[in-house]
Amino acid sequence: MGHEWAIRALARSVATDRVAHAYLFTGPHGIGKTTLARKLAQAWQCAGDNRPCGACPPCQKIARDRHPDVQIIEGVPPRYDFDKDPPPPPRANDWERRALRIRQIRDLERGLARAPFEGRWKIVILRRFEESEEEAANAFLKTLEEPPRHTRLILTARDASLLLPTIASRCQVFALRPLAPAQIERALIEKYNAAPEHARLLARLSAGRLGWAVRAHENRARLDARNRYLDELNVALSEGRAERLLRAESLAKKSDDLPELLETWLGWWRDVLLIQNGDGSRTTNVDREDALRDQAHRFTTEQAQTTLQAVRATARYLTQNVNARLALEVLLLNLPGK
Amino acid sequence: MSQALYLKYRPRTFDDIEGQEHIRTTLKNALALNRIAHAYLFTGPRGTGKTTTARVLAKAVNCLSDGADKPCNACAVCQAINAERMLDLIEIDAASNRSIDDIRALRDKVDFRPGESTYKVYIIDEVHMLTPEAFNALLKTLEEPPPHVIFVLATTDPQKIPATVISRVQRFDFRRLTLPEITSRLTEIAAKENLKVEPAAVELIARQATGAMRDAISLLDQLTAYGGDEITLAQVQGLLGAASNQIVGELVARLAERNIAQGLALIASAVDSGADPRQLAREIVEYLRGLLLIKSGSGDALTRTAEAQTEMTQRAGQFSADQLVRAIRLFNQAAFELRASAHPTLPLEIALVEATLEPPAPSGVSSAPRTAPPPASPPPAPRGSPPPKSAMPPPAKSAPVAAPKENFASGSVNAAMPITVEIVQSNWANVLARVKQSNRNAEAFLRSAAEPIKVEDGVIVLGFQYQVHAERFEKEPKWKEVVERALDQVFQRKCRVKCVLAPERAKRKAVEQDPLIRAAMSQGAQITGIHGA
Repeated sequence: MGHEWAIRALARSVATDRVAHAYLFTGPHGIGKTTLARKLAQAWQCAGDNRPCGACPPCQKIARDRHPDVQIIEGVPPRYDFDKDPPPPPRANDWERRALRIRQIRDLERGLARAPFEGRWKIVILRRFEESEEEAANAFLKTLEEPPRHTRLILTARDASLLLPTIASRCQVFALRPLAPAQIERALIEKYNAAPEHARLLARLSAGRLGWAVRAHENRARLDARNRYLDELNVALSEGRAERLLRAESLAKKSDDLPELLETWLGWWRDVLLIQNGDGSRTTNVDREDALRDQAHRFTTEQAQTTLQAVRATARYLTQNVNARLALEVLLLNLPGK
Repeated sequence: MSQALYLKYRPRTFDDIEGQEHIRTTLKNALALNRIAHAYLFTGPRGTGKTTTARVLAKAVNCLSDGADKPCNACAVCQAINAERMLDLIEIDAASNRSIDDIRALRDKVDFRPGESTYKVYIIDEVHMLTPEAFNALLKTLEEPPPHVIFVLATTDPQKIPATVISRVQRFDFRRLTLPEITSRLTEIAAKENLKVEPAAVELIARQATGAMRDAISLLDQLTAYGGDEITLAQVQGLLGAASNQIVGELVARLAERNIAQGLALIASAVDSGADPRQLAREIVEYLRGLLLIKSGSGDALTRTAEAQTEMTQRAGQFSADQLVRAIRLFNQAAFELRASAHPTLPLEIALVEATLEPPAPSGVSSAPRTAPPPASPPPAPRGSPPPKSAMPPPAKSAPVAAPKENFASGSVNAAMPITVEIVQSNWANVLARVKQSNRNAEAFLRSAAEPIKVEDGVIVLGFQYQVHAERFEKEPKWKEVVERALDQVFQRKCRVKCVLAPERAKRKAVEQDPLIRAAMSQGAQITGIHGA
């Protein structure tokens, strides 16, 4: 689904057997990097004719992450002890911090020295390689340049520039791009039985990330959080200073949510600005059209613009270890008022 | 599996190496004069030829041919190295073998004479990853290796190499390759591989590589794997997610017209049809930079067609230089933010919106959260104090106060001016600076223990938080003298000080630090009293 250009290119390389030993798929979380990596692994290991057929035992095993020659490696939580701790649980959210350690690279290299167990290749998918520790990335350079025979490596990362330049330049890079919202909308309706209104909203909010849209469709938590963030904003707009200060205090306590909160707010003010400047057809928050229009009237373009800048600045401060409560207080006090 | 093109076309002689003139000439001369150093350090960005040059050097020093043109790539030694079966060329990956034990193992073997050639050549790649102990263990060997050994250290990160290592080696800095150097090499490889590549496609590949040959050749390789033997500009754009120049030009035109709606529509349609938002942001920056260069009269420095040149010259006229600089900054910021933003297009859209609108008046919005209250509202004066600040005469120009570097907090001080507690407070830092010049201890003590709280009949009253501090100050007559002298100088008159105990000052200070209260005070509130704990 989507990324036809990349799939066509990869399919051709499989068909003509001009395959590189290392690939790097980049793009925002939820855009389909790991999905594409699994598909490619299937194509390489597939026993059927129309590779990947999706039906043969190797394809099935890879789809369920059970293939002995296809390994998916991801970072571990901070202070994780490989000898004592149980395998780390899946990530709670996109912001959770993990790190790929040199020990994982060494284990991996030992494993690669052996021949494949049942497949044609030994395939390793290294997810979120931008989280690798510096030593780990450096230790991986030589393997990445000239890996053992029978080896194929697929890395995924948020963006190539977040990796060591020497890593990215050893891989064939596919920078996956956002899909058209209309495409996501269709997919949600046809494949996942979403209601049309709901699909439209999710497609707009996902901004081209199909994986994000599907996850938001299957698990309402994301959408609930987004609604909560917008409610906070809209209530804050009608509040006086004292209440805003209290609100800042309570928001600051959930510091894990702040990046997403600020991004939601950014999207909101972008919509307000859009309507003010005469293009209501491209708004993201289609379910709250009325509130958007109301605010577009109530506030001047200048107010909306300064607010947008203030939200951006706050997001930046939070990455620089500024006291979250202070940053939010300044932001909330600077929101336009009644 | 076919061999990667960048491995297949690794240069085998000095003349094959594209660019790096300065290094090639130096090394060739050293070879001709037989003045080969025993240790080299090759530094430079990725894909500029460090490892390649190291291997060519290894061949050249061992080459058996008589001719001047070494390496010959024909003799037994050259062929053995090309086939990677030469035992006297030892390549070590320092990132994987970075410990002191690895270096000791190396040192133990260094003394053995080479088997089939004149020199044993050690290439230590990614050398910046060695641990400090490993570097130190290497020092002695690096300084005086056995005569039959040559070391070549290669790294992308020379800052991480200890100075003691750098001073023992000959250092060569590899630079990024220029656009013509990369295009000429790509065209050469394309010809050898029987590929038909559009010149515009070659140029886009070369641009994308930003000076790294390996990146350029990898990209070409990738395109041949997917596109077949004919490579067009559209294919390269498709793979990279690059927008056509036309779209970028149109976007900039909308920017000039200040048409947000159409600008955003353009971005959306470009992204829907497969452009990469980050790539798009970078292309816009590149285009705007072109306009800025044209505006500043150096536009011909860029390579482009005559049509594009006319179009850009015309467009450059629609912007002021300030606007361009601001827009470049905004889109550059967007390209940077897109790396980590969860939303794939938002930063780009916001950059467009902001670049289109006039910058808002600098009304203090979005300034960094401060840790001190805004200077506009000093703490209210205690009861019974002299008239408020507004009664202060304008600062005099002639304040003949000499030197301390700190500026006065609020204008200079004039001898004729009645002294008020506000003036003392706002110049207190300045007073302390003078105290510091004559007595550091007094300054440190005053800074933490006391502050001026009022002025009574021309006597400046210092409030102490604790009894012990006040007593200590009284016991040191010299300190008092120093403070008075400093006050004399700053305020241009004879000043006297008095100590009192003022415990509620501390409490007030703590209260003032509270963000809620600070925010209230910045809105004009005053503290009138403190109740409770």
